[in-house]
Amino acid sequence: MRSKQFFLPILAFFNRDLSIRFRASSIGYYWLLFNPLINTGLIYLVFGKLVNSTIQSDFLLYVLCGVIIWNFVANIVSECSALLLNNRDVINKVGFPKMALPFSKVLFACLEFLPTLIIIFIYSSFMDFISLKSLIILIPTIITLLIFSLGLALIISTVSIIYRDLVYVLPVLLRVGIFAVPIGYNLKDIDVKYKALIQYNPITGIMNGMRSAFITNYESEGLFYAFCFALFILVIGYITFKKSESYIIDKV
Amino acid sequence: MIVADTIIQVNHLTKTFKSNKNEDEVIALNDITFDLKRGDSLALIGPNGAGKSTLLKVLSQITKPSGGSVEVKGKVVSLLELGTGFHPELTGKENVYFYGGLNGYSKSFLTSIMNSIFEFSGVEEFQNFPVKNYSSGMYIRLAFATAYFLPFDILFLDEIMSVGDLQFRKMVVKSINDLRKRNDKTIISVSHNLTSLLNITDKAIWLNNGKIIDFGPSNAIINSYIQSAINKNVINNYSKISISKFGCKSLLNTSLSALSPAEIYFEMESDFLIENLSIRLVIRDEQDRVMTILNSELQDKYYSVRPNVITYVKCKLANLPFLSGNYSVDLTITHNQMEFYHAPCLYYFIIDNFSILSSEPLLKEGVLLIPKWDSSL
Repeated sequence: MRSKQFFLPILAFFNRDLSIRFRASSIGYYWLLFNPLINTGLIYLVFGKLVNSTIQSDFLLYVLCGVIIWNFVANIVSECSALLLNNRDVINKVGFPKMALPFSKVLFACLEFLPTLIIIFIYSSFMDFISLKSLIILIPTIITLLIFSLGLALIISTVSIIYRDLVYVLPVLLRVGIFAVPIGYNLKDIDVKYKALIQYNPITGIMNGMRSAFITNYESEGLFYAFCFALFILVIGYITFKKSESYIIDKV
Repeated sequence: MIVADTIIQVNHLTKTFKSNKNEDEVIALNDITFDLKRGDSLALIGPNGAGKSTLLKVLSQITKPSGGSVEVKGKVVSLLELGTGFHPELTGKENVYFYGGLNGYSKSFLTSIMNSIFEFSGVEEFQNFPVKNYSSGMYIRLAFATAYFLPFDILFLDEIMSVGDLQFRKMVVKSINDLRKRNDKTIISVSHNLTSLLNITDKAIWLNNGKIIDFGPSNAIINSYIQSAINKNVINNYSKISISKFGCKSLLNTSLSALSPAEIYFEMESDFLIENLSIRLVIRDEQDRVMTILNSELQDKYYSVRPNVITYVKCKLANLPFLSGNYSVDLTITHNQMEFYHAPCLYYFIIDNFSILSSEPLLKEGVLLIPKWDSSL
């Protein structure tokens, strides 16, 4: 009964967002495909054609695996920055577990994740890269991604209420952030001075996990580190949200 | 049979709000203690900013108390601040799913009550239109219907009667009274429409500045709230006359009934000598419609007050030609067009009608007259 009380509000928000998102658009759900494809195309052009890349494997697959992870995280960051503010009407009028809101955003990001994943599957099986053995790594990768995103969602939705500046800062951070993760370049090509910055970014580990599932002989370097980091973020997020919940509600 | 058990228990509840930079603190609720049993219907009354809505928010677990404890046993459904958080872009139907889901009800269950909700709300034709195109009346109808059909134990209604039309208000009163008859739901209503509250509640809490002024039977509490609201509004001339013992009674030593003689009476006191006072009484029905106005000036009857002497005013009526229901009385005292005292809804009286004349089934509103039937050839 208690889990139902938590799960049904998540679903309610998810369904609401789904109806609203695609209501006024003429090509509707196809946006779920176009968005990652456009992103991939852009990065493919910039890093693949304009910059001389040292990546040995199939570059398009390399970029796709990076974009799918980055999109997921970027989605969470931008959706959660004004999450509680945008839903202040509901928060102030209906008693429901407030954590359902960030959870619903992670669920929604999963929906946007799936089409790209299917594209990757089709592309890699078409190119005959796929091997069942390496696909196993997808499970810890996706779990890490979910844990990390959930923690991030909890932290950002809380902190952005206390420091409203975050609503303006986060889009800027996202624009910078896309270069701080190895989406279109190889970690080995980075100047040693800045390497640590990118190496210790948990998103790098998750991307490596993703790539090792589809690209032969690719190491899932840093995935375990990313998993530990994600767990830490989730715990911090949970505590932040729970601690400031009552305070936040009066602030929105 | 359902045992009347305690379903809401509030102990020394306080709620404070801090300003944006945490410099100032406002006490919204201060040491609130009360409890309610299953089947109770409570009215929350008090001036704006008394803490009524905050109390409902704490009880529906939207915001947490700053001190004290609140225990609510059972499923709460609340309609707060004129709505439910419906999303304007979603259609009526989608909003019912959304609101129901938020309250923890499954989609299949909501589908099963969907027809009843729309039938009851009377906005059936618009169920597939986004609610941003609804009028505020339609919106509140759908919101109320949705809440009403969810299987709650406790229902909170905040000012829902101030939006809808007369028919909607009647619908609310009727449905709440249906719930009360079942005796297994607990309802808390906030409204400034005191006549309606009188109809749908049996207990009342009077709040002021976050404190409970009084808690008891709604009839008594609402009437004493009105008395104080009058005393508070007094300014200039108004403070010169005070009124007490206002009432309306039957002259036959029975309860007030239509077509029997009755008397509206009160006592005036003042520290000054004021003469040539005219008295004006406006009697209104539950929908605030004026039923009649009694003006002493029109009959050249004037009163006066003098220090340390109580002036008794009695207005005798050969009969009250009204149908059964609740009526309110406004009192205005003037001297040469200058208002010395004005009090809207100073008093309520209830007419129980057992008169044979009012048993005509088509007679729903209007007045009662005693005809003398005659025949001539």
